Amino acid sequence: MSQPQRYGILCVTGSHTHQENYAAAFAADRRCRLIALTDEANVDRRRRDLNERLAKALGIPYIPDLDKALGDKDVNIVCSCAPPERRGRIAVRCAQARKHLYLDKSLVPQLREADDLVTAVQKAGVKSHMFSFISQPWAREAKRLLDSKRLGTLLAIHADTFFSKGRTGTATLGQRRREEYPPQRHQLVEAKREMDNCGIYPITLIRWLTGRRYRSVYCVTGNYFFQEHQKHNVEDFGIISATLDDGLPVTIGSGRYGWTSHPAAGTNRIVLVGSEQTIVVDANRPRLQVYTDETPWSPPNTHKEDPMGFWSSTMQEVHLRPKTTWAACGPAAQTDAAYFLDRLDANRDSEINVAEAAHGTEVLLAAYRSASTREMVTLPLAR
Amino acid sequence: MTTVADLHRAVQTTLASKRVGTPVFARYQFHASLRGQAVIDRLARTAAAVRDWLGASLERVLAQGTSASRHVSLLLEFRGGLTAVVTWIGTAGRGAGVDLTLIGNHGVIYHDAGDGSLWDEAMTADDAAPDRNLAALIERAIKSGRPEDAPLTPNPSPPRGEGRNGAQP
Repeated sequence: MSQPQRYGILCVTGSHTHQENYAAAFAADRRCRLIALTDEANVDRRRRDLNERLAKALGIPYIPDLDKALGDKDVNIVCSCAPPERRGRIAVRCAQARKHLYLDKSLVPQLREADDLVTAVQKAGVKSHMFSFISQPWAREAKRLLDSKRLGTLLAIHADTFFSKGRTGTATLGQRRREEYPPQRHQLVEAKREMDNCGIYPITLIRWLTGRRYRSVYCVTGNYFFQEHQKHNVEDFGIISATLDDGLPVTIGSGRYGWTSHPAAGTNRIVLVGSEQTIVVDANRPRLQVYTDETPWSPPNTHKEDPMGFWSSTMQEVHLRPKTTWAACGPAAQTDAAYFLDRLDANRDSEINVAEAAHGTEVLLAAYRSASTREMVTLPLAR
Repeated sequence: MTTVADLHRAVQTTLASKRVGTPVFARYQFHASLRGQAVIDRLARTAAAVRDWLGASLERVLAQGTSASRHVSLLLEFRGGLTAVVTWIGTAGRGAGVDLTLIGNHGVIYHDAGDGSLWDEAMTADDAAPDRNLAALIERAIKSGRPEDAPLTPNPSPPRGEGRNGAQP
């Protein structure tokens, strides 16, 4: 029996954001109906054009005033992919309008914004979720294995998330990166802060797996691969050595290392070290390896509006071919959007609600501070 | 039986081919049943191998864990901002018991213990004397739990006929 479309979705921001993927996921779920796409009234012409483009592609109206769009009583959930510098204040306004929040990662760039958002969500009594890996089958398997106590006592966790995109080899090497604090410029046309962009996944995953908060963080950031990142003084790589509040050691590698550095989308694995055994959970395992006489994969042409391959639409425009040497053979993944809808159906908050996501923000900020001072940073950070 | 020395030689040969460009980061995880000073010595030998692959002198070490806890992880910082994580785990691992990801600015070398055959045994390591200064630094880092600076040393010289960390092609 088909389910009624009981969730009205309001999308904030359009093309050249992850909204291209998230809106599609909600549209594909029969519990949902896309209502409109909106943004703040004063966005620049480029952003407005990109918003209108996605609204048109989705077949929904573009409402160029966020507050007006939030007044629509048919809207139950706001799916926001606003740029990092704007996403905090937008999410607060959506919570104040009593809409559930589905938010792009990472949550917000600054600690005060994270605290304000947590307060707003709690006050409004709405549910919230930040995009994460936790609905992926391999992440669920890691959680199951950890909970089963097969490892014995957990001794350490090591996790890496590296994105295999971008034309690498253009950064000038030889100098240690000098990090700034607080970090600025999180998302530009041609570069993102990759420790934030990629590192938030393992940071959040480890917190979710263990139920532990981070206690101390030491971090080094680098510019190893891309002149674009170097030009804008944002890192393309970060390595974190941390301890959780029970003293558990953790290391996290994250970054973007180039189109041809991996047979699939990139390294994505977590090592759970136990007193009895060690378990390696790899998003690319189990897999088939397929070798044929097809033309070998090669990177797409560089899109001038997206040289790092951030967005689906730009990659379609440069005819990105899928990598096919590795074929997944594990269970199909539930979409992250479907996970959140399931939680709403059950009247339960997400396991990665804004309070959880805010801890990830704090860990990232501690990491940037550590990288700038070359000292270990203790959490919680001073307010 | 493949030895750790065999693996390291293969890595060195691949680096010398320049296919992965300039190495910038290594994650090296090995499983071995060791105790006490043997843990420090093996960590020092492994860190030295990584230092030679990166072709840069070690500047700083942060250690987590102890030999008693059967897990030690080293975050190594090298001259020029290069980094590595070397981890010893005291329980048996998969296959040959060594996982390596060595990232260069044009490609990556992977050695995934999960690709091992069922009959693989843990790689045997040589018992050559480790760099005593490096071993002492690691020991100090494990004791302090804080970042420990290494004494200033020149970059390791590349093997004959093999340039490293050169200009971009």
